[in-house]
Amino acid sequence: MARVTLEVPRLLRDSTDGRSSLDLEADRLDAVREAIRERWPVLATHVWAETGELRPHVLLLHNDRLTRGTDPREILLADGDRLAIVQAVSGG
Amino acid sequence: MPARTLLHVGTVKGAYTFESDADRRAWTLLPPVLPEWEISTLLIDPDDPDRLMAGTAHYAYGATVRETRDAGETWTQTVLRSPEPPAEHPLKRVWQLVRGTAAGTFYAGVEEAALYLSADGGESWAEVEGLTRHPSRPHWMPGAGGLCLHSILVDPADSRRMWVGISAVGVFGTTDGGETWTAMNAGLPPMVTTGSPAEDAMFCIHRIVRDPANGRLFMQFHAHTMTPDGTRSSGVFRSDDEGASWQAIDEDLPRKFGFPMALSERSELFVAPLVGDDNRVFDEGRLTVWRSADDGESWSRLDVPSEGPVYSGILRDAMALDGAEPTGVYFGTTGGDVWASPDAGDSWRRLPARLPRILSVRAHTYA
Repeated sequence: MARVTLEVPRLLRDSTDGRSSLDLEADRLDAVREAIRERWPVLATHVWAETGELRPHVLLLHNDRLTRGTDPREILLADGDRLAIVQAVSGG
Repeated sequence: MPARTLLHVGTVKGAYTFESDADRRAWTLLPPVLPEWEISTLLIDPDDPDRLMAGTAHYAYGATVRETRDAGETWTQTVLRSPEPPAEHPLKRVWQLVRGTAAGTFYAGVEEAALYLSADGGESWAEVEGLTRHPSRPHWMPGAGGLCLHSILVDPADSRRMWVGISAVGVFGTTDGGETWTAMNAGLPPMVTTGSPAEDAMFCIHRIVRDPANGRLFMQFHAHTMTPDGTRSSGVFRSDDEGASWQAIDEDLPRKFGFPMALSERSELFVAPLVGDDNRVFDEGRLTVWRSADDGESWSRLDVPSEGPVYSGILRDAMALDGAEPTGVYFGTTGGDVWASPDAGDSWRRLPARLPRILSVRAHTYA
């Protein structure tokens, strides 16, 4: 299992007991969702819609690259990779 | 300790609290809380001024319920539903939070329309599936604000007896704790007169309240034509038989369309009609509340003095009473103004702040 970090935006830190960064273990991006759902279920509710897809205005970055549009099962993770939850600039 | 009145205001960006004494004429605004979140509804604790529950939402991050027990210093957050398995009706917003009759029970009404029950003080929630499984559900239509369950009434004498209001669907009642529900819309004008596969569930109701003293139900309706020739329209109704049938009680009201409705412990009924469906602002820019002291048989006009015309509206959760005597009446507008009356609407003052668009208002006087 790869050990990765997930950056949490300030607005969602009351879903992570105030943590700005979470240490996770996952080999693929789809496993990240499962890991967060298990340990931080409120955070998962804010990031993923009930369909399992990312919410429409939420982005998940992998080493600063956009992951939207790619099957999360195809995104492999390595030790030290950085993930970040980012609110899309889509306020209208 | 002197009496203290708290007025909580939920807006599209944060919750604001005004504080006063029992006189309720001088108000102080406290610092905002949860300023980045939409506060769609609020629930106060009449026994604990430091405890507040809120329906919170964000356009990117969705809806949850938050609660503080230290006057907003810290908050806990709970989800109403696990994301697995995926629901047929996604949870978009919490429209109403109420306390149940049994100790530690809470109900939440949400969009898309569903009712949730917490039996452990708000720690966890479960969907009341008897309502969601109602046979008319596939035909439920949203109102302009969404398919929202916005009103929840629990009989204080019988926790198994409840009513809910859904826009634009109607009233449903249960006598078995939510296992089965009956549409209770007889006497209301439907959105369309014929051709619906669910003619008992096409009613755009905006708010229902219940008088526990006599069991009467009152409703602010969308306002529809009552007669085929369109000569009469009604928007405020009363039920004398626990929701089995409804009668219009708005003959004295020049405008019938509105959203909020509030009922005091002394059976004073308050409404705040707007121009109508296509122009949801106060008539001619004049802030006006109407009060009835005889179950809607007659109404008194209560003019709210403003410095100039106010072309704002008022949303369904944005009027509240404080439980004191005389009744304190409060409302917030879509323009962000908060108005307070310490004497059941006879006199008014605008509180010293202009807030974001106001969604919810709650008040209580603590002894």
